[in-house]
Amino acid sequence: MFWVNGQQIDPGDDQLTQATTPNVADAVIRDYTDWNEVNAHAAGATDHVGNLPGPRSQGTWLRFPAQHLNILGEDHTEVDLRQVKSATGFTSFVYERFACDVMAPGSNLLAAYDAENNAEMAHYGIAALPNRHLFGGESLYPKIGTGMVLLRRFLPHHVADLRRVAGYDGKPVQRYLKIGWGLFKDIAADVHARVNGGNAVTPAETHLRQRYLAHTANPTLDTYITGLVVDTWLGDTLDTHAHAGKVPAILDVAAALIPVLLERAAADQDLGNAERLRLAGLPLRGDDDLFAYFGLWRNLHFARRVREAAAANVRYAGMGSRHLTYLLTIPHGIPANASRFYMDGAGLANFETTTGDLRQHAH
Amino acid sequence: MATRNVRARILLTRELPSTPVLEAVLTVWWLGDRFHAREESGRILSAVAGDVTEPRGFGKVPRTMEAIMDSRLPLSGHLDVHGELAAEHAWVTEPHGAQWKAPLERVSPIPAQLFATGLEGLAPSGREQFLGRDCAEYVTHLEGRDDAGPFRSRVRRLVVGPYVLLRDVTAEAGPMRLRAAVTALDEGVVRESDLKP
Repeated sequence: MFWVNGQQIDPGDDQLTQATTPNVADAVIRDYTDWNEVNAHAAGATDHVGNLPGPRSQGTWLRFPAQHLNILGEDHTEVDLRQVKSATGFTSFVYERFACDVMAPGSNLLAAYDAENNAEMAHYGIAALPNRHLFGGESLYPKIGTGMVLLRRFLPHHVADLRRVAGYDGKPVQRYLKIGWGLFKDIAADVHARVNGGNAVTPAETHLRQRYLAHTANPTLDTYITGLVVDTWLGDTLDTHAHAGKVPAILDVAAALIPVLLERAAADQDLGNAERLRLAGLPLRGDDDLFAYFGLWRNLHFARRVREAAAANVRYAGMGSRHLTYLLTIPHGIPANASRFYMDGAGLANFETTTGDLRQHAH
Repeated sequence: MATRNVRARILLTRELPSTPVLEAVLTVWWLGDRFHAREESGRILSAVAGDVTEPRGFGKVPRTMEAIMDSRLPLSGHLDVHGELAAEHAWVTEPHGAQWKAPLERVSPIPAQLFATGLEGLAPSGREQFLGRDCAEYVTHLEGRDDAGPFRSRVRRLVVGPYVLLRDVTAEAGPMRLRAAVTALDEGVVRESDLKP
């Protein structure tokens, strides 16, 4: 069933077409502003309206502004951007889950990132695109850094907490161990090439290269990490007799990678001087400070990506709702032409209320 | 219920291995079947309600690196919910300022956690002094399956009269823990003005 400008359309209406006639008598709620929108939606030519597929809030009619950027804050376990994409059919977006970094073709980092994200990228129709970084809502590197610090929280004494039976942490920690290991190998190779070419490297990079040589002399570690199955729990293998001996090496890798990531953040050319100064002003006394550092680095990229998305007429930017709140707290965090929706709060509730009211008054 | 008049302050503490310890203060006012609840951690409605409604009993637990990092972002402000049990909707004011109307069932678990439900027919497993009151101890379990597989959480409650003064949830496998402890309980002090948005 559907409404046009507040009026429910009855069977036999002379503006119905072959495409829109079936929609008059079904149980789905659709609320259009005019007949142009009715026909455009039926033809699949819109990206701002549609019904949520469920299971959460199934059938709710969504309506976003048809022009400019819509910033959606979500609870990743409830109505997320993927469900909004199913509802509205948009193709223009940036999303938190995807990296905005240009990763070198053939690099270990890109291979690990793709392996871990292929299924999700396929859902968004971007898995085969060479420029898929354009759909990234944030940088991958702060997440790798956080993953390395988290490894130190669990290893060596709490490996069992990374088992599946213990909860959820083992899966994301494993994902970022694999991605971080890819980056670790790439940096080591790059340092080697730069040294051979007579170029300067930093002490942190030199140390990482040394640790790389130490840990790849025996291929067991590489075989283990690269062989970890996507979307499984690190503790389920690492907390076994066969692999427990790899814990010190993994901690060593994390310890070597963190300083190099901090150097990358300090020199991040995707950020402005003021943003780099903010990072430089943070203390780095321990792991809690590192979490905060990588968290701010990440948020600075979020703000940048939203600005870029608005300027490029991207239609949707999806992120955890706390990032949306962050954007609201900083000057110009929400671009002037952008709209915002808390899809885990008022935004979704308004859509649900409208849908419910129409259903209640349908004839 | 028509005579219900109580104000309670609840301290919620949650421990998860990958996130900082969460400490949140919740104040609940009940007058008859009307309520007001204020939560001061800066979290939004779905997160605060999740403390009571999530199947494992530990609230909204991060499952991705993105969510783990999100949980460390600083928050400010407070959440207010107002409603009455006879209504379809309750009013929500989020910490970031948004005001909206939510279905009652999404809101009411927050203030209703003060009251003991689901214990009918269960025998207390012991007695304990808590908040200066002689409480009955009840132990139940939450069981189910989600994307991390089967789970079983132990729920220990200390109950006096209609009130749950302590709800202590622990994972039977793993380190997760959530504890909601009443730190102040005052009957007969709630006024109409406490319920006004």
